[in-house]
Amino acid sequence: MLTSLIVVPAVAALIVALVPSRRSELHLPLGFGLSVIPLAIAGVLFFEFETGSAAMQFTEHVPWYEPWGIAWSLGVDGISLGMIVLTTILIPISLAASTHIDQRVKEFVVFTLLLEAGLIGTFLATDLFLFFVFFEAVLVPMYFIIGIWGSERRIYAAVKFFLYTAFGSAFMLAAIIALGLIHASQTGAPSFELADLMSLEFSGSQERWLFAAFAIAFAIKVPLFPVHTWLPDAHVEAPTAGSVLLAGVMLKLGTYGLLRFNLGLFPQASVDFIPLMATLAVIGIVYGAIVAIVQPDLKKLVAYSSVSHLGFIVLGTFALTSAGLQGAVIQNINHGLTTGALFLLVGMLYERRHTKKIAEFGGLAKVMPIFAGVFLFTTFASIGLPGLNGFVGEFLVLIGTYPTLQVFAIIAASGVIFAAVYLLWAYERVFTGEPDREENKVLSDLSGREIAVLAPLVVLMVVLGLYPKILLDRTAASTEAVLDRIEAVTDYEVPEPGRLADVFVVAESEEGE
Amino acid sequence: MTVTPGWYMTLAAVLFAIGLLGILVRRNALIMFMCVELMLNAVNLTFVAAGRALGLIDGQVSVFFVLVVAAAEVVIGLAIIVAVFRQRSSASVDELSGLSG
Amino acid sequence: MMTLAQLGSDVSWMAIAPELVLALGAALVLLIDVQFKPKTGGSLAWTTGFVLAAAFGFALAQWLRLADIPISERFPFGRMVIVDGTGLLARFVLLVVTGLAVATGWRLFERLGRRRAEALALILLSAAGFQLMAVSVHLVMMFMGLEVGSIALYVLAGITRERADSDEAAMKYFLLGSVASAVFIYGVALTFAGTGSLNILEQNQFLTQNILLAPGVLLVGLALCIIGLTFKVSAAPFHAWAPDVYQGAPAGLVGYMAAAAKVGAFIALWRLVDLGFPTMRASWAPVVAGIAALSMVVGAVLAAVQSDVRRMLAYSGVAHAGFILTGLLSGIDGIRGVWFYLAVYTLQLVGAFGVVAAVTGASTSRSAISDFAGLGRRQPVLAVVFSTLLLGMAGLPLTSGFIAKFGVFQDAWQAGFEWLVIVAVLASVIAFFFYLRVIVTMFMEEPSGDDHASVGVVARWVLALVAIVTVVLGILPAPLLELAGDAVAR
Repeated sequence: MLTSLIVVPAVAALIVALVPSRRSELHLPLGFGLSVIPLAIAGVLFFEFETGSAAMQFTEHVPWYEPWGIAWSLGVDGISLGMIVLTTILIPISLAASTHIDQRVKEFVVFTLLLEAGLIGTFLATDLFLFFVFFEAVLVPMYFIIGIWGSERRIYAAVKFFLYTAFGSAFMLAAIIALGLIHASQTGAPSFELADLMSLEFSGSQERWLFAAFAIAFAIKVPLFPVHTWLPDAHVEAPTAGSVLLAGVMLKLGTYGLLRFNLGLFPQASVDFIPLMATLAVIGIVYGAIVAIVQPDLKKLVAYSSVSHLGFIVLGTFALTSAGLQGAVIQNINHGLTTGALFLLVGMLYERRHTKKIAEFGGLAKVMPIFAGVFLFTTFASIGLPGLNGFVGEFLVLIGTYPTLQVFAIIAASGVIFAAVYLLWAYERVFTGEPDREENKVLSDLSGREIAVLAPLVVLMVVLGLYPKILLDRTAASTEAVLDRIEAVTDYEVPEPGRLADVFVVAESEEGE
Repeated sequence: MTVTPGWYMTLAAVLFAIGLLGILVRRNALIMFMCVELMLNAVNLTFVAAGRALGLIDGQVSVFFVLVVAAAEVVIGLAIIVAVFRQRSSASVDELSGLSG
Repeated sequence: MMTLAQLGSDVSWMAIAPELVLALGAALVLLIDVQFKPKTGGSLAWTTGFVLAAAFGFALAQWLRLADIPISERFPFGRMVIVDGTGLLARFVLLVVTGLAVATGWRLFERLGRRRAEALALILLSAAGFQLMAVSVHLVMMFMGLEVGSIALYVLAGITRERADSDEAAMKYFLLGSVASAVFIYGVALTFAGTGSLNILEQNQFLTQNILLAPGVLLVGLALCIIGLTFKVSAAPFHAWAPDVYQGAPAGLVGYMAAAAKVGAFIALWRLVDLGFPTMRASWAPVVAGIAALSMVVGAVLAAVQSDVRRMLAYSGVAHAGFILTGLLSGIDGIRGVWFYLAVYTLQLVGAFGVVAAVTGASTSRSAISDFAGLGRRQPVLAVVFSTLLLGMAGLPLTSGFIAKFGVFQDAWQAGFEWLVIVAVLASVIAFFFYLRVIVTMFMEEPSGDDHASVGVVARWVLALVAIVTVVLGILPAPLLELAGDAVAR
């Protein structure tokens, strides 16, 4: 079942590649049609998933090369489930939103589908070697998507994106090799299986070095301040679909990796590194927000807002409380939905006006009421208006962070206010008032296809905002297991009421009274 | 004073060093080539001296192999030098600067 | 326990049958040319292919019954040659590489006219030389193999002698190569003086049975041997010849020249340090590690600033030599990783130069990166093949190059060279940069000027095959790794 999630997009890419290039009108619809299959599989997965269990589910294990202990080992738990569903949702949407691509359509569809296979593989892999393979392999399709279909400075952006990430993962590769060999020295045979590696015992400095090696790789991917500089370039130059997938899914490889591998494998070092990681996260929140305020370019604004939002996720992760971790996992999904939608909207605007400069617009609400409505709605979701998805994630992160990292939580809360400032101010400049430029007066509103592209995201924003339980139920057991292990292995104790159990006990006693 | 094999080997080392130095400082391809020959003959001397000192025939036998190789290198080397000379009317390696980057 | 002296001093033609076939085949090619004066190369191509296949067949036959060969017959010709899995695998790689090089560079042989028989004969002879080098456990024997192989390569570098660049490449290769040979054989002479033997196994025996009070001469000798061999694999700081030779020699031959010398010299180096001088590991390991680190850094950094694809590949070859040396440091166990690396890298190298030959012309020298601009549109198949090979060399996951790098890094880490692995992973990031640059040029820039790219039918299929193998071995490396593991066991 899990293997098919990886194989189907890869085979779909092959099928599209076999369609002759001159039938260019076929590629996009075909690719879209085929990309619905993984979505269906992921849907089945989501509802078959057994809630309340922290263990990896639907596991598959095929040895790859025994003497090295590497294996094709897949599994899904609460932490990765949501990301897989998100990926399978965003891929068809990105394809459907890419009708403006008029050259080398076939290659575009092929690379997008290959990207899907790689991304899903990264989230499913429970063998570190396999994880690394996918983690690196996704760079290639994204590199081409930015480099071929991007705007003017696309090559610079693509190379910068590739090298930054490759640089980080170089350290991770060394650490993965080290882990496998430490396993060999402690048990006799090398293994890269996550579950096996969790039983290793490290010396203090060893653990900190390994943590640092993984953290560098993921921090660049997230990206955390000060290694975020590739992100605005990549986002601005990438085509719409590239931006959506980059922000929606690829950045999450970093936050996912921090949660899954750094917290999972190196509990003591995670506790030791809380101050550093939380500081970087908060700097990212505030810095990203402030820089976003002054951006003259709409797409760059959204890109910097990503830096800010992902800071929240990292902060929640390293708060090491139930609510913080839950919030981080949920916020991964939320940010994918809202930022994905924002990039789609900016892309649609760009298709009409061929500019992304905020100053060029004004009064668009009069000309494009539906567009303005969807934009405002998404803005609210991104700011975290109660009742929409962004609220759930940010609120959980903040209440999760408060018990352990009080000061950080307070500073981070200012990020929410900043978000309101830069997004609403941007909205005001672009949409309110009277349309003063001639070009802006003739813009057409959203077409049926564009509404269809955005509708699933909007619906999900509402659903997750009103009924987050559907997701929280599935993540709870896994995030609790991470905390259980940290408490078991280290001296660290989650202060009350940081654990889910605390909250529930409180609730029950109140009922009793 | 008796001349022990050590002296021969020292002489060989000196010859080898002279050859290597010649390669590094001379710029005429023919002379550089002769320096290589000098190095190979230093090797031969070492072989003979060591073979003699150890009482093993291997050293002397090896010399024949080295001689044959040296002869083969002469044939090829001179041919290449002549080909270059025809192209450029010079045997100085400083002229060979077409390939760089 | 038999002593070494009791072991096989017999003649065993089977043990060197592949080399004999190649040498006779070289003579046959020349005779056919002289006797029939063929106008086209067809008959010579078939002869060459047949000779390579026959040599491969003999090697395969020996491989299949290797387990049955008793230890007493493993060291024929007075313990000059060793019959073992590693040597046979080296032959397989060399023969495959030779065949691919001839197939992909066939344009060049067509253009050489009557000189094509010479070129083919020289290729066969040099393959025989490097194979002998890989199977010898006697240092003078190793030297002979090295010279037979190298001298043939000097001539091949200058085979298009009308071109000034070709001559220049031949001259530089010859002068520096013969210095390296002299350094190597001087090292051999000194190790002979130090141990009283020229046989690697006997030297090891001597060193394990005796304690040397003054190992000075021996250490100098070992160092000179290592330097001589690292020169042949173009490891820094002995790499200066590689870029000029790669750039000046005819494109159709460079891949072979680079790959064959590397296979022979690396296997020889492994035999020397791990079979001959494991007792002196503490002395040579830091030196080899230093050379490896320097090669990776120098190769990667200098490759990044090149504007000629061949010079870029040459400097990247320096970096690859460093990666392979990293694997050599892990002793006997490391040979599996080294062997896998050699096999996939030489395959990629020959394939890459096959593409270069197709794009810029088989007999030319120089191949500016700008010549590749827009290749993705002009020749999509070639561009995809080249990208795959370059990404394979860069060590991207899902290509054989990644498995190869992972293998040697793992071995080196296990052997306690953690710092070297860190240097290596960082060097491979720089490597991504310059390989990507070519891919960027091919896919993201518009074609400039005229389109000379053309590739024969056979060459196209062979190149596609090499690219497919690169990917397949990246996904399913187990069979080849097991083969390599088997080779060590045997």
